[in-house]
Amino acid sequence: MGKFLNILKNLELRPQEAFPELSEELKKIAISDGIQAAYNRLLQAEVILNVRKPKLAIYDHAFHFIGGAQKYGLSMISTLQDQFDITIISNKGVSHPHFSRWYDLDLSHCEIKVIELPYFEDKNINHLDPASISKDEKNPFHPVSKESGNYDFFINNSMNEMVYPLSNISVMVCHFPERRPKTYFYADQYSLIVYNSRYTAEWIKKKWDLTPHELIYPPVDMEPELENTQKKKVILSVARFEVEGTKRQEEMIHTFLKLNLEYPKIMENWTFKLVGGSDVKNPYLQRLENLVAQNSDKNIQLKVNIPIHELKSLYQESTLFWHLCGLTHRDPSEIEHFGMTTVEAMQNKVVPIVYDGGGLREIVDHGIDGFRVRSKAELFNHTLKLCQDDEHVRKLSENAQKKSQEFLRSKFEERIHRVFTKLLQTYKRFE
Amino acid sequence: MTKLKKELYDKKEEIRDINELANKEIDRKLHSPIEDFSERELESLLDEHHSLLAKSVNPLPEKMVIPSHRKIIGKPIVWIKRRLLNVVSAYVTPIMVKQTAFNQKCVELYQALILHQKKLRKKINHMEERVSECEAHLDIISKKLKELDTKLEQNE
Repeated sequence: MGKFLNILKNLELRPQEAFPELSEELKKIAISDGIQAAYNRLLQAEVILNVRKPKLAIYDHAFHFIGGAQKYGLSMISTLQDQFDITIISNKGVSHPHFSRWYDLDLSHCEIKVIELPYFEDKNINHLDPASISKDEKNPFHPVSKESGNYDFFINNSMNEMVYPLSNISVMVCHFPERRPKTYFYADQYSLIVYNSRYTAEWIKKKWDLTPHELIYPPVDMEPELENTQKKKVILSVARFEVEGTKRQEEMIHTFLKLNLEYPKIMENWTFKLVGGSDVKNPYLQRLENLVAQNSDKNIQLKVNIPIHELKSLYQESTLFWHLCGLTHRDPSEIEHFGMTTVEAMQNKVVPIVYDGGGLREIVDHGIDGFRVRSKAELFNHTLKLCQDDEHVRKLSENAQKKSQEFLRSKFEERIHRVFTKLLQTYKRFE
Repeated sequence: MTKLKKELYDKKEEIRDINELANKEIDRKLHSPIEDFSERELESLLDEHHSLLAKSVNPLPEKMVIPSHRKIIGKPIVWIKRRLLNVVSAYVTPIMVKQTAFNQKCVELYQALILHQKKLRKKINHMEERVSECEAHLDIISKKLKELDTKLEQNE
């Protein structure tokens, strides 16, 4: 390493004489450690000698879908555009207007590269699921692994441990360790593992037996445009209408109905609004619609796939926020890994009453800025108390807004800058 | 430097094997202890193993074909092999038939156990729901009792 650094120093002072030395050294590296290692060394030399900006690629096999994890990765690179030459690697066609429309991010300085994977293309599969690859099949993600070797930095933002990193510096962003280490598992080959909550870190340790490195909470930017908007007697739930019902909207509707049945006077002016995205065909949503229709006199509203401005105004007018994702779970992945919508509610002074588990424990401090519950009965009790105590609601909502500041986009960007500046410094020092 | 970089890049691009690029064997045998599995993971493991077992119930090949590869001595060799196979089959087949029947029973038993466990799970879910409902009712009743108590005290 020292010898190579000397060659680089000589290259700056007397390039004509030092260049053959560099060439000779790279040949030696190619023989001992392989062509990729020699190429990597040359890439690093270019950055140290300021020949060019460091090149960074970010990969996600689901960039062609709108999603929270994808927003996380793209927000990450939007803050790094000045420091790096960035390439976005996708397996399906996407464009800058897509990202701008979906996430309100200007990534015009980033190049987009589509690497189609024959395994999925031949089967005409749009949803690329790494879990569907059995041990008898060849790893279909190797074209991405190969591509990773063309950059100084490679970020794997997908929940896909089947991509082997060949770049000098590699970062895996783990949103949750979905699978156990089986076939084609390379998460332990990355230089750095970034995780989105302590809950995710706990499961990385349990499932992968790895200690992740950097905690960076997702950016949440649902701050109200107008301060002190008049609150209404609205209980809000914002969660996707999953076909499996893992967000527990049905249970919440039953709790609201029970509150109405047992305490009609207290609940008479309260409305329960359930907001979420859904595909066209969704039997679970159909069931909820039937349930709401059967109780049409009980102020329950379902709002599916609403535009962002409507969601913002709902956050601003609501008083309480319910989130029961995780209740009666059968797998740790069924609990909220972080809980972005809860933070969004808190940014708008909506008091959260959420399931006591997963990432939600890191967001809501029980009794201080909201409540954490383990059953429908607890949800019932805390809601009933708050529906009768405006002063308590006011206090909790103030605290909730204060706590939500920890998850602002500015904090996220600060953390990203800190981590990548440190990595880049190390890279340039040739460590 | 650009020329040198291009040379290395071209050489690198020619290599198709990731192991060669990584300069090591990247795939390892990995094992996760079943004791740590979640309920959902265990369920999919049971289903996966069931379909694997069901596929390999019968160890006997469908039909044994003995091909000939040699021009002149091929036919006698095939003839000898067939005779040998007939002799061996006479002893082995009854054992294999018994083994297949046993395998079949094992797979059926395994499937029955999975179904039984699924039904039990359903019952437990239902009971958990009922218990949770009862708890909620109890809470409401005790709250209402307290309210009544307070009212009674005030009246007295």
